[in-house]
Amino acid sequence: MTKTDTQISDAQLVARLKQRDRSALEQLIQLHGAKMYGVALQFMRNEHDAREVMQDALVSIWNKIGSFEGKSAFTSWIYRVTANAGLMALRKKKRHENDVSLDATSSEDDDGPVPALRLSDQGPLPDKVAMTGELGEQVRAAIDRLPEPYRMVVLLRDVEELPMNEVMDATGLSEPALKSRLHRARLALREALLPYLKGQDIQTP
Amino acid sequence: MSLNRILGFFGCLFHPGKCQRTKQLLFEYVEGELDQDTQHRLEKHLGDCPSCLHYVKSYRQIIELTHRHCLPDTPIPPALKQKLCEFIEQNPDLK
Repeated sequence: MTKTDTQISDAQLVARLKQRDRSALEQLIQLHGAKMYGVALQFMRNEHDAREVMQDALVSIWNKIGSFEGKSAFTSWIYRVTANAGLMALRKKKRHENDVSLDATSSEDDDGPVPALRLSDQGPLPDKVAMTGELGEQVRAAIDRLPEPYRMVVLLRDVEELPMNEVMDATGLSEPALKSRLHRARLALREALLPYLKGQDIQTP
Repeated sequence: MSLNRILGFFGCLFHPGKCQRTKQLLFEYVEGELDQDTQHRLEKHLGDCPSCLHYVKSYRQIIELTHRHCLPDTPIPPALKQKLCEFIEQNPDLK
């Protein structure tokens, strides 16, 4: 299917959803389900939880389609809805598990120097096998090894490319805390992935 | 030791304050949040300091790689697709 075909399909899909045609949701799964599933899996890391996220996303898409004005691509919009559903599910799960808070920690609210965040040694990086592996796998592995609050802001900002204010809304973080967390996560990824950056001879100044 | 590393090492000896400032401003620079004057001065330093230039490049490269490689199409298992279709047909919220 060409890009233009996809745009026409999406336009028809949006029109049918706005007309409350429930079968359009099934077509949505056919056309964009793989990407939605990829997003849901990024957040939840298992099929069962990813399914719940997709279900929540479908309900959100159904309820919010009236507010979709076509200012952004429909695909971007549904991935954002899916990402938000993933974030909400993760927050709910964390509350149940009484695990690491996704909210700001006091140390991230000041403007002081950013302490280094290092990824755990678990995982495939960076041995000789990994060096020869697919770059995408290494990037995903490095992101997976980020502590949850850091992985979350990377997924929302750098993967989904949500505007900063939307990431702040979604995570409940203050602007300084979000910037600090995102910066630390990027620096940790940079350090982990330095061996894979092609054609660069990069060092820390 | 490569030429870039040697240049970077000596560059940072010549202007350690500026290199430190680059690290402090890196996030705002990449996000496009610096005022014009600060951005201009930082870019001038990047032109003089290969080490900082490569540091900034690698930071940008990580953001780009993260976006490019983290959104794979993931085929939905047929059983999951079936469950989602049942959900769509049966869920009272979807009316």
